Amino acid sequence: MEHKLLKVDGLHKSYGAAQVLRGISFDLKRGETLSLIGPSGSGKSTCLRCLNFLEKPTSGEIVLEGERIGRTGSGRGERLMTDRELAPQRREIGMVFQLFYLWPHLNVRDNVALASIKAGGMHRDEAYALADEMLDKVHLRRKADEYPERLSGGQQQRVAIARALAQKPKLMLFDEPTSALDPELVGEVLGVIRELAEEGRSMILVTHEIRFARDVADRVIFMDGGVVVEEGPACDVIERPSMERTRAFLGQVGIGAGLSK
Amino acid sequence: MTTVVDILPHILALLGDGALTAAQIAAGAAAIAFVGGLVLAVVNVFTQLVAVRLAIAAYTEWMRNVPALAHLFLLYFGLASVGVRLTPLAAAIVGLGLVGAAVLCDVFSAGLRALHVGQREAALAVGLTPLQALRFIVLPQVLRLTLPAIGNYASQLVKDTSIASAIAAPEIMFFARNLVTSTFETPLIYASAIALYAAIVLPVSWLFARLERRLAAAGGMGGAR
Amino acid sequence: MIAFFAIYGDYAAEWLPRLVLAARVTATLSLLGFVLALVLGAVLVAAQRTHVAALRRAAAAFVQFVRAVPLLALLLALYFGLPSFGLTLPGYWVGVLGLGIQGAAYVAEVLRGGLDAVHRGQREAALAAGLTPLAAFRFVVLPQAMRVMLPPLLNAYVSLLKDSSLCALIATDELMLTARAMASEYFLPLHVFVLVGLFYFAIAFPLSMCSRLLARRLGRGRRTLGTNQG
Repeated sequence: MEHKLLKVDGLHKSYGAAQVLRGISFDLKRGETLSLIGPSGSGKSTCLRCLNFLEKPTSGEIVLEGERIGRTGSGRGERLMTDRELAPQRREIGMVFQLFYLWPHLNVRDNVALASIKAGGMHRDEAYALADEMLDKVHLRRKADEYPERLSGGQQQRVAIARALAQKPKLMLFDEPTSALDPELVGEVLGVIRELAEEGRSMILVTHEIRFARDVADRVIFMDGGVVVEEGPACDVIERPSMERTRAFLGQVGIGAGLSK
Repeated sequence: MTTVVDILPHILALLGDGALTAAQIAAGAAAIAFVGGLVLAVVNVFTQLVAVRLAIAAYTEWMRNVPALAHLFLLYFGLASVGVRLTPLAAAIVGLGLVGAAVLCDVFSAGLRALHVGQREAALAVGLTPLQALRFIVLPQVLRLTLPAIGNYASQLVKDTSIASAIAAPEIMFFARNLVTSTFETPLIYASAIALYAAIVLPVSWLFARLERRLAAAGGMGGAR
Repeated sequence: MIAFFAIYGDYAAEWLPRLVLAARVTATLSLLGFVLALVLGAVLVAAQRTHVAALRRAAAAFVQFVRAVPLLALLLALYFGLPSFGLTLPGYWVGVLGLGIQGAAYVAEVLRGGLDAVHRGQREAALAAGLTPLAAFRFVVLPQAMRVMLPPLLNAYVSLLKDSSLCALIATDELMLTARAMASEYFLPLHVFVLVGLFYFAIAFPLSMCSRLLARRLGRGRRTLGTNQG
């Protein structure tokens, strides 16, 4: 049965006079990998950050497995949740940031385990066991006692992925995970993301790596100027785009129509 | 039956005299501090002799880790006992000036070190002598860099003039205490004294803030590297 | 010259015990003032970051006012002025109060600088991982802020230590008052004040040095961290 894990409906976001999101709507099935692509400023990151309410949408609905994210109350009593109230909901959503944001005063294992202990109520041993397991998944178990500053960018990002996985989230969000990495380190991170996708995780990936999106994502959404321009199966949108704007964008980033690699 | 209104002008007049003395102390000390601090800093940063740097470090550390009050007592009472009698005003100016020189030495040293070494090199490369390089290229930039710290020092100095009351310098707190014993309007007198200090310090801080903003707008340190 | 130092030999036995006792008073006085400054400073920072505009303005006004007034004026005003309102405090506690109030303004600045130095992405990552704002502050932001705040806080304590000497003028039995008394008792102001200067130096200098070393070590560490994403 097709079960919609995530429903996004009519997402709007304005900063003062500037409208960044002008009505974004899409679904995500469980186990599906969705990629958001588009030029800088198109609103893809903002859209992603709205999903776990790091940005508060101006209007629109986000529903994760039947639960409304970020808003509470009903009718006239409806209001935005506070960060405190949002914490349990955010546990269900794992986020990986472009700049990793590993916590420098904690070693790798503590980075991965902290939230399990302080927000997940786990005992330290349990949390550490889980952390080691997640670090295994990203092939960095041996670095568990190191501090982030001693790791390469690619390694740090993989630790960040392990940290998000340790939440046992329903949904994983990746906000341009490789954009801040030196080129030779990009591959190791993409490799891990591909493994997660093949495992059947539900993921939304904002990325500039178009070929990777085509190979790994099930569906792709092309965004521009705060709206969804085109949406469909990854190969279709990227290799046979139907909209002119999509074609123009892909051409700019070096993906001609029919290019397969 | 004296009312507040009757007595206030008298209070303010006397405190105002004290303010003039405070201004004199601040001006004198600032001059010593500025010139002394600058000279010390230049020597400190550009000398090759470790002994000289140690000597300057000893001076600044002593001045900065011992309370100003102790320095004033030393100059006023201490020197008097060996025959050198300084007036309260002179002792205050020298004492606060010497402490200030230590503070500004640290400030200017940091500023000199922060200035890109290429600035000085470029100046020498176009044929300026080291002294000219200092005068026309290095110092102007250092002064701009350190303006916030100098502003802090200036505000602090004005406040520190109050310490001179302990060696009977006729400044604001000195008059305030005398007034209290003669009129017993204690809260009113001290409130006036505090208000007077605020009235002096706030404009000084404000002036420096404006100066900083104006210099920043006039094309700060931008491409000067 | 030797005669100068000979005098210390003669009187050391009498002077040193008195000064050591007084030094203890100075140390506790400034410590209590510092604790008060920390508490008030934290309150000020909280007030500065609140949504309530009135609180923000009150905090800003307080800081502006305190920074414009000399400590001595504050101490004298409290010591001589409070009795008129029915509150007579001994010099020691007026000192703690005055040092705490003045210190709070500076401490607030240091605390603010430390918190601002922590990249906001750190907090975001913590919230995204499901930590409550309080937990995020406790386990992610504060530990990192502490490293930045420690050297300036040490400097603040040294400042308070020096400022405690002003309490001599409100009849508190600390180092400076003791020195003043001894100087007139023995008619040896030069020797006594140099000695008391050494006492202050002996307490303050190690702390200043610590602060400087810490700042250098933490500064180096942070530069490495900075290149690997904050």
